This record gives sequence, structure tokens and C-alpha cells, in this order.
Amino acid sequence: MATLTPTTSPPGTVPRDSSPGRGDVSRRARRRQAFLPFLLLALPTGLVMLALGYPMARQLVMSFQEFGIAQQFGQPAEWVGFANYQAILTDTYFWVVTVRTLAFTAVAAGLTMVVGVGLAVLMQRVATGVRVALQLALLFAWATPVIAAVAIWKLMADHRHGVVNAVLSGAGLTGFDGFHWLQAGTTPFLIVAATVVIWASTPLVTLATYAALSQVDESAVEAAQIDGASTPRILWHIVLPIIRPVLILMAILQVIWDLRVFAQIYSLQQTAGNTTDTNLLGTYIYQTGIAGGDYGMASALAMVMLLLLLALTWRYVRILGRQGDLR
Amino acid sequence: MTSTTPLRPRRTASRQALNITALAVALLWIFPIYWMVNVSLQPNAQMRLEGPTWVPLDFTPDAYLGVLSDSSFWTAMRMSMQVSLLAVAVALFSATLAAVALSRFRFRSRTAIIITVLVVQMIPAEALFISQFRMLSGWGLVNTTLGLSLLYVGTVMPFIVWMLKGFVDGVPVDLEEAAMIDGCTKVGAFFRVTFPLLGPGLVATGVFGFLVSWNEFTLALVMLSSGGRVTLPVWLQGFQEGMSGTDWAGIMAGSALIAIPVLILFSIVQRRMASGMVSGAVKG
Amino acid sequence: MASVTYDAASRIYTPGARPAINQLQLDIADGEFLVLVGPSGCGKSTALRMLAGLEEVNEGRILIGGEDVSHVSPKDRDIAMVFQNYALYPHMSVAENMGFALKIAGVSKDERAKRVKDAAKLLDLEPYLDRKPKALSGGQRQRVAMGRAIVRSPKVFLMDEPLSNLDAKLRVQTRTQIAALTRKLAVTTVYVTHDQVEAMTMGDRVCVLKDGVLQQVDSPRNLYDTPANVFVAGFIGSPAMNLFQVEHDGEALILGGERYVIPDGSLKKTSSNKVTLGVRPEDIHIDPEHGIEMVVDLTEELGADAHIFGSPEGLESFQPLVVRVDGRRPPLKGDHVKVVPQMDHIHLFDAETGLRLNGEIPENTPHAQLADVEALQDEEGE
Ligand SMILES: Nc1ncnc2c1ncn2[C@@H]1O[C@H](COP(=O)(O)OP(=O)(O)OP(=O)(O)O)[C@@H](O)[C@H]1O
Ligand SMILES: [Mg+2]
Repeated sequence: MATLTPTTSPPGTVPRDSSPGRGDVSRRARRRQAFLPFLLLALPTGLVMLALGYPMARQLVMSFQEFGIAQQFGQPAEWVGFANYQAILTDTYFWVVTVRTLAFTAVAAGLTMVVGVGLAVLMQRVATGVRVALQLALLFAWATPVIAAVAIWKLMADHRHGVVNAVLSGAGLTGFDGFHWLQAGTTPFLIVAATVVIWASTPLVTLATYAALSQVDESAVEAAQIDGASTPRILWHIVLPIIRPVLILMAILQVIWDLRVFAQIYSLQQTAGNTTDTNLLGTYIYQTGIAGGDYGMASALAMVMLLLLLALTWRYVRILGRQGDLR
Repeated sequence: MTSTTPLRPRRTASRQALNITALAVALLWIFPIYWMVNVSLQPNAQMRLEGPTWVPLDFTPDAYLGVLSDSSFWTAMRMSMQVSLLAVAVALFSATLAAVALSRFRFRSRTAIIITVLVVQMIPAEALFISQFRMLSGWGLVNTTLGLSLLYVGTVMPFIVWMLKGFVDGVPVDLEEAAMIDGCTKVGAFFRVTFPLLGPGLVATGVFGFLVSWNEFTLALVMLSSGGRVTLPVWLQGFQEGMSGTDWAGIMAGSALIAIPVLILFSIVQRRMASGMVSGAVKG
Repeated sequence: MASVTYDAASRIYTPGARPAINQLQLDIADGEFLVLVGPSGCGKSTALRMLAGLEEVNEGRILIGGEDVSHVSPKDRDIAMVFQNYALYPHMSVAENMGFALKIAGVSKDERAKRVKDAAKLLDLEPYLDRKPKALSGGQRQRVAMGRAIVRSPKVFLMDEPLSNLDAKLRVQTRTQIAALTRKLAVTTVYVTHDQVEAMTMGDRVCVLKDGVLQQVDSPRNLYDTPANVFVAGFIGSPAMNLFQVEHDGEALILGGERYVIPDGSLKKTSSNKVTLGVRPEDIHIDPEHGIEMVVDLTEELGADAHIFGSPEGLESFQPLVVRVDGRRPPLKGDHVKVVPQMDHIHLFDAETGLRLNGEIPENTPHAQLADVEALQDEEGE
């Protein structure tokens, strides 16, 4: 594909003749051309470095230091090598939280993707009015601020005034009468949390997948129909490969968002009271660092979480990145 | 989005079943929002005594009046506005530069940078807020609009770059070339031709960045910790934790007041937002 | 108005790989209409874009009106270009599209309106001046693109397959209009097409490219009558020239057992014992008495004349032989005929290099060109 080639030497500087200077101009123009994209990238990169890069570097350093309350009041931080990491990795509670986080991510991200893509396919096949209604409903859920969403679900799952228990016990499941979802242990708590997360993140998956589906070339589908392929096979062999980049992007985002989930858990915890049984990695780091004051340890925890994220998504990020060059 | 429905089932019976399923899902998804409005318009005593009522028969706007007369709500509103607008303005401007670089130039480290954009997108605030907090406190920027905005710029930038790149890709290079032949400089060609055509995409992207900042909770909670001004989500969380913990109507009214501007903005630009993300991914 | 010169100009996308344009040497006179033609991917667009300043010139130079513009940016070259997909600005009306360049150049509003109006009148675009490009038909858009080029009265017009998005009838019509218009305006024009009919009907001269290398540049007539090499011979003309590998003994071709003496000695110029013989379909006739035996495989009736296809005996060829015959009583499928090439209209090419052997060898062809390239490469090597 052709690209713009800036040959930006102003007219005055151009030698009128094939003088020896010619090569110079050419080289200078070429150098400027090579330079321009980097100039454009300087400001955005600088801002990201400032907001994310620099803290990241500091955090890496801090994760190798003893950095507690005393250090916050001016004591020099002491290098402790891998002690923080060692402490984390030998702590059974860390493993409990990690496994819990992974399980939560698998369930929440998995369900989000399945439901989201399912709804997108459904949306393609319903009457226009119905589709618009569904789009609108999803849109509202997507746009609702996290904290507001958590508040709503908290109310709906409330043990005394909640509509969820009212419906469940109304349906004959009297065991749910007065059931305290948030205080009844890890699983019910996480079910509420996962519900909030899935409710809020499915819409993006559905709308993006739907947008991708409607870009699928109709003639390719028709060709396959003429070739005698059944609908599931068409979806699998023709449509899926075309929308694959979108699906990969969405799946990556779900894994990232669910693994690091914080606001929902934090806000639910404030109501539940118990944090030990309900912590995921995000809230665990917050407690260790901001609340507990052990920055060194919290930094190491954060680095572990980052590595976990990278390990889970790296392959797919690479696929997406390469896609960018195939254009 | 114009729907191409190539796989439309032929039998109307199964079509009908699909329609009904879709409607049921729509109702399920909208229900929490309906519930928020429903409860916010009921007196608290009602729910406490009789449990949930499905329709606000004892309609009362008291909860809304309560929130709107609360000065801390308005302080938080101003704070949220300032932080979000500042973050979006800065992020949008610089992301445009990056999008142009990535879309209109081929240079050696381009793929690496695209991957970096994706990876940076992955870095969760939850993994960095410890040192971000230390950094801001070192510069005396904790509890300030500027400090929080800076962090938001970092948070939304990768996504905004990604979306904008999709929009820039959507404007044919030919047009810029034609403008250059018509006498524009490269920069002039961009501003006279590509930029106007990018307008709707810029609006969509800007709204997206605004909403992310407006809804953000974690960083605001950490960076605005020690009293003072907070943003709306932190205000709402505090409202729940405070004495009004059982003022369900008040909490729902507060939620609704935060959510409604967002819902309106969102409905306006969602189509482009979704397609921006998609084209970013499909076209790379 | 100005002449254009490509002076050994090259465009190298990837260092080390084959250049997209290789040492192009081409002089285009003031006011001339030059057509660049060649198969897909041969570098036509690249050559044009180099002249426009949209592609870098990696080696050599490009001159417009005698001035080296190799490193001048497009805006300062005073050229106008019609893009294949027209590249109309979607957010501007037709009038604004056409007046954009003038606006950039700082032409006053009244003057601009007047010139746009004149151009619109010339192109029958007056009723559409206030419309957006989206609301125009393909043909109208094409005319707007033309209009955008002519309002500027530039030194050079560049057109990259401007007709390829039009339907067949409109294409023929517009072809004539463009040719007439550019001659009336007497502006130097470089026109890219892959359609050889367009090339032959429109160009004062036609330049044939292949793999980024110039093959021949000549008037349409000469290109047809004396193609410089096998590639040009096969590329120009429809149906294509018949080409065979034929044995010879230095003085005569041996064809179907008979000797055809070539008196001008062109067969002495090759070291191989074979040559490539080229005969156009209209230069073969059917003879009742003697000639090469052929069974007709297919007859294409075109009205005034007909094309018969068949495989002659004893001739090496990958393609069936095509003969143009009188359309009233053509031989039919299965008929046995004897065909004879008209010896004063045959073309002989070296079987190995593909270069022309007989008749007048055209100038400005790879004969000269290839030698140049080698010389230059030697120079660089030192
Ligand atoms: N940006 C680029 N990078 C690398 N190679 C390129 C680039 N642009 C074009 N090429 C190559 O240069 C050659 C010439 O391309 P060009 O577009 O000039 O062909 P063309 O003759 O115009 O073909 P067509 O008739 O199909 O338009 C092609 O082989 C093409 O692959
Ligand atoms: Mg081309």
C-alpha cells in the first residue's frame, strides 16, 4: 500500500541543477521523513511515560525494597532483593487469592464472551424493533458508572429489601428468604460481583461483535450457502475467521478487566464487612499498600499481577499487533 | 449500523421465538436501571415496611431534591467535570498526533509501537496506583485536579489512540495526496481534508474518554483519599458508607443523577464508538 | 506548460529488491499527450506518483520545464492529478472541490468563482456545482475530478486510470472528450492506463513499461508496426500477435518444410539457430494452393471480419494461431486450410534476448537502455 512520502524541502532550497548538493538534499529530506512520525509520537508517548511508565519503573524498584510506614516518614528504603517476592510466593493466602482471582476471571470473562457473542448473533436475526430495544438496553447497562451499578445490584441483592430474594422465594425457593448474599461466604459474594461485572461488560462485547458481523461481506456468506454449507458451518468457517480480530481484542480486554477488578469488589466489601474471604488481587494490593502501608510488598504483588496478565494475554496481543501490519 | 442479515431464518415461527428471546434479554438487562429509577421515586419507609414495590405508586421526588440540595454533590460534580474535561482535552489532542503517525507513516518500529499501545492498554490502574500515589504525593499533586487528570490521560490514551487510528485509516490517503497536489503542505492537507472528515470520530472518541474519566473510581479513591474534594463516584461510595447507608432512595437518586448525563451522551455516539473499536481491530 | 523529463529516475521501495521503477529515461515534449501502459504491477502508478512528488525519487532526477523537481514537494510542482477513484473531498461541494487549489493559491473569490464556472461549463457540470460528491453519478464524479485539474491551468496533467471506474460506453465517450480537451488546452499530459485501446487511441506517444523497465516509447503507429521486443509485440494489438519459435539457417526461415528467405540479413544478427517469428493476425492470409496446414478449432465471427483459431502443423507455439479473415465467408470449425504469412510484414526477434532483429530498430528501447543500466551499475560498483 502506498503511503505519503513527504518530500518537504521548501522550493528555495532546491538546487536548480544536478549539482553535487543534490544527494545532500535527498538525504536530509529522507531523514526528516523518518523523523516526523517520531515527532508526532513524542507528546503522547511522553504523557504515557509520565502517567504510567515512570510509576511503573518506580514500582519495580520499590518491589525490591523494604518500604513501609517508616520509609514514608523519611527513612531510607532498604534493599531486600527478592525478599518481598519470596514472602508473597510462600504465603498461602496469596495463593488462595490468586486462585480465587483466576477462577473469578475465567467464569466472568468466559460468560461475558459467550453471552456477548450469542447476543450479537441473536441480534442479527431479530426484527428491527426488537434489535433496537436490545441495543438500547445493553447501551444503558454499558454506560452506567461502575459505582452506581454496584449500588443498584447491592440494593437488588439486599437480604431484606432486595428484589432478587423476593423473586426467588416467591418462586418457591424459600431458602432465599432473608439470604445475605454478601455475608454468606466467598461464593455467594463472588456470584454477586460476577453478576455486576457481566451485566456491565457484556454490552461492549455484543455491540462490537455485532458491528463486526455487519461488516462481513454478504456475498461470502451467500457463496457458502450456494456451496451447500449449513448455517452453523457458515458461522464457523466464514463468519468467525472474519470477526476473529474483534473477538480476540474483546477477550483480551475482558481478561484484563476481570483479573484486575477492584471497584466492584471494594464497594461490595464495604457492605459485606469481611475482606479476608472476599479479596481478589486488586483489593488485596490496595489493603496491603494504601491501607496497610507496606508499599514494598504491595508493589511486588502488583508486579506479580502484571506478569500474570502478560502471561495470559501475550500470545493474543502479538496476534493483534501483527494484524496491524498486514494492511 | 445498517444490519445485513444474511442468515435470516426462513420460518416465521423460529423467527418469532428469537424475537421473544431477544426481548426477554432486553428486559433482563434494562431491569436494574428500571429498578434504580423505581426505588429512587419511592419513600424509604415504603420499602422498609412492605418490601420491594414494582411500580412507584407513592411517587415522590424527595430523594432527588435531597441530593440536589446537598452541596457535597455539587462540589463533586464540579470536580468530576474539571478532571474529565481536562483529561479528555489533553488526551484527545496528543492521541490525534499518535494516530496520524501510526496510520499515515510506515516506519521501522511501527509494529512494536502498536503492540506497545495494546500492552499499555493492559496495564491496570490497580497494579500501579501504589507508585502513582507516591509519585503524585512527591509532587504535591495528591488531591488535585491536575494530578488526577494526568493519571486519567495515561489511562485513556492507549484506547483513544487505538480508536482514532481506526478513524484515520478510514479516510483515504488519496484525499490528502490530492490536497497536496492542490497546493497544501502535508500538515495543511491533514487539517483541511482529513481533520474535517475525522470530526464525528473525534467526537465519539472524545466522549468515550470523557466517560471513562467520569466513571473512574479506583484512582479517584486513592488519589483523593485524605478528605477534600472528590469526584462523583467517590462521593456516591461515601454516601453509601455514611449515615445514609439505608437511604436507598437517596442512593438510587444519586446513582441516577450520575448515570443520566452519561446515558444521554452515550446514546448519541455509541454507534461510532463501537465501529471505531472494531475498525481499529479489523483494519489494524 | 512545460516539458517533462525522467532522467534515469528510479524508485526503490525496499533496498536490495527489484526497483519499482528502474532507471526510467523519458522525455515528454511540451504539450504532448503521453500514455504510460503496461500490465498490472509494472510501475505505471509509481512513475506517475514520482512525477507528482508523492513518491520519492531514489536515484536520478525528474525535471519539469527544465527544472529539477526531484525533491520539490507536490504543492510546489504546479501539476494537477486525476486519481483513479477521483479522491474528491467528500465534505466539499463540487464548486469547492474544483476551487480548492485556487483557494490555497490565494486566488480571489470572484476570480475563483469565474474560473470554476468556466470549467464547469466546459464539462457540463453547471447544474451540479452545489452538490456534494456523494450525490453524483460515477461519470459526473469523473468530470468533477477533471474539472478540479483544469481550473488550475497547471504545467502538467497527471491521470491515473481515470476511466477505469466507468462503464464501457461512457469510457469510450469520455476517452474522446479527454483527448480533445487536453489538446485544446495544450497542456502536457501523462496518462496511465492498462487498456491498450485507450493507449493507442489517446496518446501522441505511448510508453510501454514492464517490471519497472521502459520497453519502448513511440507513436502508436510505430509501436504497432515495429515493436522493439517480444514483450511489446505481444502486449500491443488485439487479438495479440502470433509468436512462434522457428528454425532458420542464417538466410531463411524453415517453416512447414519450406524455406522463406529473409533478404535483409537480419537472421545473421543472432547466434541461436532459432528465432521468434511474430505475425499479426491480419498479416496472414489463406491460400488455396500452398502454405502451412491448419485445422480450424474455432471461428469468432465479428461481423466485418472473423478470427479463426487453430494449431498449425509443425509450428512451436503455446497459443493457437489466430488469423483474421473476411467476415462474409469464414472457414468453419473442422475445415482444413492453408495459411501463409505475408513476409513483408513479419517481425523477427532474437529467441534468447527477445530483441527485434528485422526492419528499422526503434530508438529509446532496451537496446540502448539495457546497455546504459549496465554501464551505470559498473560505475556504481567502482
Ligand atoms: N508502498 C510500496 N511498498 C513496496 N512496494 C510497492 C509499494 N507500492 C507499490 N509497490 C510495488 O511496486 C510495483 C509497481 O506498483 P504500481 O502501483 O506502480 O503498479 P501499476 O503499474 O500502477 O499497477 P496497476 O495497473 O495494478 O495499478 C508493484 O510491484 C508493487 O507491488
Ligand atoms: Mg496503478
